[in-house]
Amino acid sequence: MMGLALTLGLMAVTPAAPDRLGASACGDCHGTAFESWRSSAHAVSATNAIYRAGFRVEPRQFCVDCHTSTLARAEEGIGCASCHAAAREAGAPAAGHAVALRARADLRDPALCRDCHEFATPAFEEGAVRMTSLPMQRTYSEWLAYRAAGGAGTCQSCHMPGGDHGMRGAHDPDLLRRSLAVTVTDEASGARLTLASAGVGHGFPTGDLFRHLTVEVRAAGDAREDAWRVVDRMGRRFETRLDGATMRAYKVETADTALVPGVPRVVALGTGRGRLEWRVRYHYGSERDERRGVVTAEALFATLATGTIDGPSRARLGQGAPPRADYSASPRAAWPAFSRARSRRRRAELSLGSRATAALYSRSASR
Amino acid sequence: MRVKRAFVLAVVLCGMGGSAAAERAGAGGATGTEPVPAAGQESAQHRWRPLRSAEATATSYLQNDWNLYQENYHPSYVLDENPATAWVEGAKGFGENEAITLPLSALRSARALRLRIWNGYQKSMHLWTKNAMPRRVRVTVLDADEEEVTASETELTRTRGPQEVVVDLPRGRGLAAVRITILSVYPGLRFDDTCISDILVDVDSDVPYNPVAENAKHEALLKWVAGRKDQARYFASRPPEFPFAFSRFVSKKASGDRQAFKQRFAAREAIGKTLGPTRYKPVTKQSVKVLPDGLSEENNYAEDFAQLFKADRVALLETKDDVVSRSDDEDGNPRAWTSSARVARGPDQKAIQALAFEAKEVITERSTWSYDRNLLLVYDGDGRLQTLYRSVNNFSESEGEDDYDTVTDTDEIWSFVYDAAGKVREIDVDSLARHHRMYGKKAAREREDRRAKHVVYLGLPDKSS
Repeated sequence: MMGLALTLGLMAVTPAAPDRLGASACGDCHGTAFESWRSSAHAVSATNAIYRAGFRVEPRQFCVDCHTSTLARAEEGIGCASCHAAAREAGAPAAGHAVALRARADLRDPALCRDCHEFATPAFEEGAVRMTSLPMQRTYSEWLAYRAAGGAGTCQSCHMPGGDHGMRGAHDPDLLRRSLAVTVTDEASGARLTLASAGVGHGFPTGDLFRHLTVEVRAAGDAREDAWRVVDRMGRRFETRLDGATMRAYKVETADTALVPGVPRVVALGTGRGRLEWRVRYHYGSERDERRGVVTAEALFATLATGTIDGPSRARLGQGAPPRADYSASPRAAWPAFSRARSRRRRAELSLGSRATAALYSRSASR
Repeated sequence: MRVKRAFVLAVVLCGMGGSAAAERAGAGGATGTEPVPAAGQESAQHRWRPLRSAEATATSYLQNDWNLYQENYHPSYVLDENPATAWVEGAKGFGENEAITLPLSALRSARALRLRIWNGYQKSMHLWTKNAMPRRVRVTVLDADEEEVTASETELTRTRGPQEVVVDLPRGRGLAAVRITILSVYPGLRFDDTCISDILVDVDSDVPYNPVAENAKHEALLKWVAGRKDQARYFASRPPEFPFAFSRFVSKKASGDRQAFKQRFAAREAIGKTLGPTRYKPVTKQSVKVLPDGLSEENNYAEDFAQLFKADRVALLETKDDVVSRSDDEDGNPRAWTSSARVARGPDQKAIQALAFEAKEVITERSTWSYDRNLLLVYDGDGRLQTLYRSVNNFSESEGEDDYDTVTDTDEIWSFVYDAAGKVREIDVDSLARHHRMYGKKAAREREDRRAKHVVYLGLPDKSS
């Protein structure tokens, strides 16, 4: 799900034939970028299994607006024009192009990503839609807080190193594995995992509100997949409440336990007898999505780390487990200064994509 | 001339057919069949994992006096691993071209699908021989877009216990459902109803298996089966508080006059003015546990007022609370609320003449959307619910690629017709809907239906009525 401000801008671009704005047309000259983009999550933003399953439940224009480029074919997802095309008022089409192009500095500005990765939750009620104060996605705010706490880097520098249009992110399990540090402590008092995000400039997970991490355990040797027991969940939780006086419902966030950069989370695995097998899983959807079974398990989960615990001081990390993180040299050591209040204040100071979205909806929803 | 009736009386002339549950657990095949490898076991070429379905759909299923309360014959009964229940097609004749569809977990790719089919009505040898069973069938595998992945025809045997059909899938294609279409049958000795007792589905795939989803679906199916049995018991007992003359109502649709409807609905305003300011929580001594089939559809929302058919069974407790009841969804998340009620009383200040309240249902996914109902219940001199005025606000499904988020406001008038015993025997529902879109150039344009809709719910007599 992405915000609408980008779309607002795109709606005003110079009209041009869709085929000339399609990514493949750009690929004729920009082959390397095109090939990288084709492997990106942006290229499948309108066709990936999780989006399609969500859209089947909530067929909202709100989703379509940002999961597809309004200028090219819908199935193309977020194509070249979504980011590179400039607003109509920017002037005449650039040489050799169908539309005016955004300036290079604008493309390097994280605010460009904010437009689609930070927006509010809509409520469809009483024949209209209103934007609530609850962020559905807030990756940009998380990054701002990270920067304010001394973190370095931008969206582009981490996700597009060297101009790579593959834009690796949460849908790259290898990147996820490299971004999570797991330390095992096994003492007489009990076994514990310490989890911390590594080299991440926002929450972990971030993005879609349903994403979460779980720490799961089962008795070693029990091969049953349903023997796994969740001992900790990291992510956002929500609840629907009602204002009885107005009979108006609203969704609230009751918890957010996603990993904050530089803030380790300790998970007790218990003191049970026998060998214990553990794993850390990244979930791309909600528990409800997992029960529905309409999205393949492959698309719903990524196992980030596994291991077994034999007894006190005999922990064994699973193959390929990430190295222990060392935060002492990290500029994000000051990250604990991050606070919700600061995040809220910063969000208020900034003109969020969600605000533009709200303005659009308040206009179009008037009856 | 064959009789269109599946003979339910359990005259067990022979041993039961092989239990599907036992097969799932890895037991050998039943009489006359070869043992079939259970799910999770290796066969010569495949490693099978069970795929579950919470419900099945079919082009038809049999509804008759032998199955008053749908304790059987529904397509979902092929999923319950119980050969004593069966899907029985409901078309005239043997049901050629009738089909049953099992939705499955979406898989990106798979090598093969295995169906284990308990062919015929395997509750007893008597029922198995008296009823028909499929002979030649077409097995169609569908993907998430309901596009055909592969289709093949196969001949089922006249075998008690399970028989196996393996469908090889084209490389690189996903799957999300399987459909079995009856092409020809083995006739029964007495009835022309074609039956399948059970269908178990296993898959051979490299896609990681999701036991949580599979178990959840099977639990939901078993819950539905148990609920259906409870409902059947309730309908059969017909307690005094059950306000309906029948356990099943069928709807007949027609159109009505728009202007006439508007004039009738305007009466709501006058009645609304007689409501007092005090708010109450309506409480009934013995609740109506189950609504009749046909009225219990989701978009009827009849549960909002099912407890309020008779004013003399309703106690009004004064309250200052705006909301007096709440129900939660399967995750324990609040989902539906009912407001306290305002009341209009008769000249003696005792008898309830009218009751008004609101009901709200909120679906929470990534966003939230609500279904709002505003109700005004009007009672006759005998304290029976005579008329219901209701305004329903819904968000419709998209009607096309570019037509998302259509809002529908519907005004309704429900009129209840009682029999001599004071039970509802007929319900007339008139309604008029308005639609508008929330987005785009047509966002503000409101469209009103050209005709009012008229639906009559007629009680369907059954043996016990």
